Amino acid sequence: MNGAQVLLKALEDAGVDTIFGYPGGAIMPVYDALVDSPITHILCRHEQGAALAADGYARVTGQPGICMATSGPGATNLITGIANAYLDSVPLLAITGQVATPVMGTDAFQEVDIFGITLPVVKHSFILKDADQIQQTVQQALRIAQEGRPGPVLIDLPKDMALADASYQALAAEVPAGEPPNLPPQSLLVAEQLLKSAKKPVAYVGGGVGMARCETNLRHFITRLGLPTVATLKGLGALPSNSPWFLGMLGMHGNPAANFAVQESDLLICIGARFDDRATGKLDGFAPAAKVIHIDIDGAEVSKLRTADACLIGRMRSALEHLSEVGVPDIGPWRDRCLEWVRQHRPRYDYPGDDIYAPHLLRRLSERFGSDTYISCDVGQHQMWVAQHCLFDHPSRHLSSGGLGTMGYGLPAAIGAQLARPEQTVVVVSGDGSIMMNLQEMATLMRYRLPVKIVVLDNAALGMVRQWQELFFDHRYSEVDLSDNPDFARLAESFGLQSKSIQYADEIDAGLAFLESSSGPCLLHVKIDPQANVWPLVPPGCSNDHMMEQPK
Amino acid sequence: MRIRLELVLTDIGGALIRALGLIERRGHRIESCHAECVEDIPGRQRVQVTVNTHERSPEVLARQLLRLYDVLAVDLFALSEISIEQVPRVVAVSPSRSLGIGDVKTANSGEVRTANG
Ligand SMILES: Cc1ncc(C[n+]2csc(CCOP(=O)(O)OP(=O)(O)O)c2C)c(N)n1
Ligand SMILES: [Mg+2]
Repeated sequence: MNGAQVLLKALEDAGVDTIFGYPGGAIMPVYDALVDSPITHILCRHEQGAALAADGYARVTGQPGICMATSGPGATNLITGIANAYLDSVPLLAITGQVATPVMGTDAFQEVDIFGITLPVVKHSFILKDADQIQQTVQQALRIAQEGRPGPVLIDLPKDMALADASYQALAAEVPAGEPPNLPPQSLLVAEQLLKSAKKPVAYVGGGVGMARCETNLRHFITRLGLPTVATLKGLGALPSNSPWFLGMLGMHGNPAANFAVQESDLLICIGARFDDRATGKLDGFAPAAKVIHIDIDGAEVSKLRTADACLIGRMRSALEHLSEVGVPDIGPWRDRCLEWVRQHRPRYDYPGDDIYAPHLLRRLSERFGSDTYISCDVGQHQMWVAQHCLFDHPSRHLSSGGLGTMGYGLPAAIGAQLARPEQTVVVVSGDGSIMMNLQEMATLMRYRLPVKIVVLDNAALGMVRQWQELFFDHRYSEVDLSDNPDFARLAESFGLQSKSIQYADEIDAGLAFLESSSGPCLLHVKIDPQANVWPLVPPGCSNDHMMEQPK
Repeated sequence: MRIRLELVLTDIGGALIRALGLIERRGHRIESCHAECVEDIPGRQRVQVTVNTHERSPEVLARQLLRLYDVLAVDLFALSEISIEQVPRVVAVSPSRSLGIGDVKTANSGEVRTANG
């Protein structure tokens, strides 16, 4: 076998069945080997689309998503997807072709130092300079991508290595994943004490819960102790949106109930979250009176931004099981206060006028399709409206680019999700700006007949930027007008998608019915009020108790 | 705060740049650096870096370094002007032990030895 064949065989042995990619010169040996491989290759129409589709596939399955590109421009086009996976801790394996080793470092045709370029955004990376190492490197790369805190791994494969004879062992020993450290008993004791003596505890839940597949343990812990709970963008769904203990998303566009509870709490139990600035607002004003229990698999996150009083670095499952056994704290009055905040701050959907109010449409959509629908969003106001108004019963149902905030994420990620879950409903919620960033992937939808449902919320603007210019740059609008958008419905039709446009509130039912009844890929173009803003909002530099609310 | 980091790396292409790049990217200033292959243990490289951490936590930096797959050991020493009390969670590590050669970290163990030196 040659190196390319060994590469694919090693992936196949590890259970990989799908690769997202785009061919080119330096990766040709691998594409040649693909002809005889049982692995399905999904040809995306841009390498960024391939990387983001692999990201969506990984988030839904929990297994590494695999993407592949040629050297030079193919490799650089993957970078946004790799960085996206890095900042959201998604297991991803990126395979890039490289020029042959004798000409590496000579500025050969389509040579870039992709290993060097991606150093800050990978969990680990390899350049293969020995064909006999290919099998082992693939095994190692897949293991690294998944173990501990997941993340992206890059393998750069020079063309001569792909063509060289390479050794392959049919029954190669599996490389065992690194064991997370045991939870320090002393810290567990401290955590117990903190929990027992807390009067106003709040659980602050992040994306780590879903990645550790600890939703059940979390739910047991929260319900047993009756803990008011808030979630980050990536933690949504860890506790079902309709749980009586759930106060909402915290942070910049969070629910006031969630922010007020955190600000007043005397104990924060941070579970797989990282005190990100979108969640905390002004850091030194964040939960000023709270002690902190921090549960995370990644020791480098604990006490990075907020010093923890109990550092539980290790297996989340064990930590939650242990803490579930601590006696139920006596926090009745606190719980009532939190629930009162929830009651006071329920979102209102009675928008005046004939226009479509995006939060209303999204709530209706979510209720109609159910909380087990996969919703993949892009970045901007519409992304925040999804987080605020859609219902999720599992974190994997909400695909959102949280850390990097990548416009163009929604459609390719939905492609990955739909391939991973062919029987489930997958909806993209995009903006008129974002959809244009990976529009070409509509061709991928058609090629593979993926029944993804796209909703474009068209406010004829880069709405989130426009909102900030309105509020914080004195209405000085700069390059946010998109009133010359193409006709999205006709554009979609030209790719072969079914499409429909709606504009008035009384057309919402027809729009949703269209989405529901379409059996193939489809697009619903929704004109919304260009002036609508996302509320509430914590202004930059303020702490989370300073929330600007929707003007009456 | 000025600290000295003593790292043991896998002697493999990219390991040194990855570690030094991380230190700078995380907002610290490298004041001096010395790297050499460990003669008695093939495949290992020993690196001493003097770093000005400004306001940021040296312990967090050490744990971030330890997260890298090519970094096998990290020892952290507070330099001169810092009194022992100011160094967070100091454990005494003898100078001979503190080189960390031969110690194998467990993945993501997050254990960092700190000492005043
Ligand atoms: C690739 C990329 N470029 C720029 C930005 C900055 N940005 C954040 S939101 C936004 C506007 C998005 O517009 P649209 O998709 O129409 O969403 P809306 O806010 O209008 O709902 C921009 C430009 C980004 N997040 N990603
Ligand atoms: Mg828009």
